[in-house]
Amino acid sequence: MTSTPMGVPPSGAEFALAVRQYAPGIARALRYLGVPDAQVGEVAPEVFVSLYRALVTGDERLPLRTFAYRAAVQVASDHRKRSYRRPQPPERASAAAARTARDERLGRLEQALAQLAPVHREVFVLVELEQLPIEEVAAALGVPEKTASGRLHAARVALREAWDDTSHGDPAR
Amino acid sequence: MSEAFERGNVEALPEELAAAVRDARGESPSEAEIARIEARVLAAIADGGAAAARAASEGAQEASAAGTPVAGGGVLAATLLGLAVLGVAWWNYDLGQPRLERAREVRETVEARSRGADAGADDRDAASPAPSGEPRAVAPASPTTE
Repeated sequence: MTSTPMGVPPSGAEFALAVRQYAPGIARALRYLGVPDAQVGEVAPEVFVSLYRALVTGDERLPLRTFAYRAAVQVASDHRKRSYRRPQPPERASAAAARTARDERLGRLEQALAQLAPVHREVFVLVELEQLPIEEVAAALGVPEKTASGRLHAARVALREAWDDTSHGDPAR
Repeated sequence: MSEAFERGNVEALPEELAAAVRDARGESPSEAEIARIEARVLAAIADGGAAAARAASEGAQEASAAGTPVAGGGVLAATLLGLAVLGVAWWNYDLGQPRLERAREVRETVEARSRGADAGADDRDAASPAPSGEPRAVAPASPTTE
């Protein structure tokens, strides 16, 4: 399914399979691209509707998965712009309830990612969290591979610093 | 830049950050949430086709209503406007119509799965709440997008 070129409309069963196959990754990517957890369920369908439209019109020639992640990056970017005026802290980081060490790590990761420049955050999420090959990430972001690699390098450096910063504000540390 | 770094080896990151990345990789929405996403996608696709059909119908009505009370150039202008509206509506409709059958098929497939997944997920949720270490579900659907 991932190799299905755009412009070749899939059957109903194929499209349903694509949604089911990619929904977990897209939902996860959206969260770490800055869409609040509570809104992922509303935003994720936008990605697949966009994918469907592109299939119908044949405007894209990317593999389905690559296009789905491209759409996710765009939808998350739009969402961040829409909610710019009312920024909210990551839910997990602001939860007052007792948390596991895992929850705490994930909360710190969200906080650290939120400090990155969008282009760095996007490449880091797609490479490190979604584990896409760098060439696919470059295609999804519409940049040359060298640019994507450079952004990944910069993202890792920036994330280390941001990660350290998240520990400074934590009274438990 | 080392090869391991290029390949995204998280071990190259500080230990705790690498652990967080591995945790994040393991996160996934619940089956029920995936089924809800599927259902919303298919509903949106189906709504797109229906909206195009409605626009065509409304365009015809507007053209008709605009033409009734006026005469001469007014009627011609209203007719042209109506035709333009109809043309745009038909273009949209024509774009979506050949796929509607397919969208219906998709919707039926996923709704059938969704019903099964919802029933299964509800049963599982009721029977055993997920421990905190389990992959978390994304939030429930908002009524505004239903």
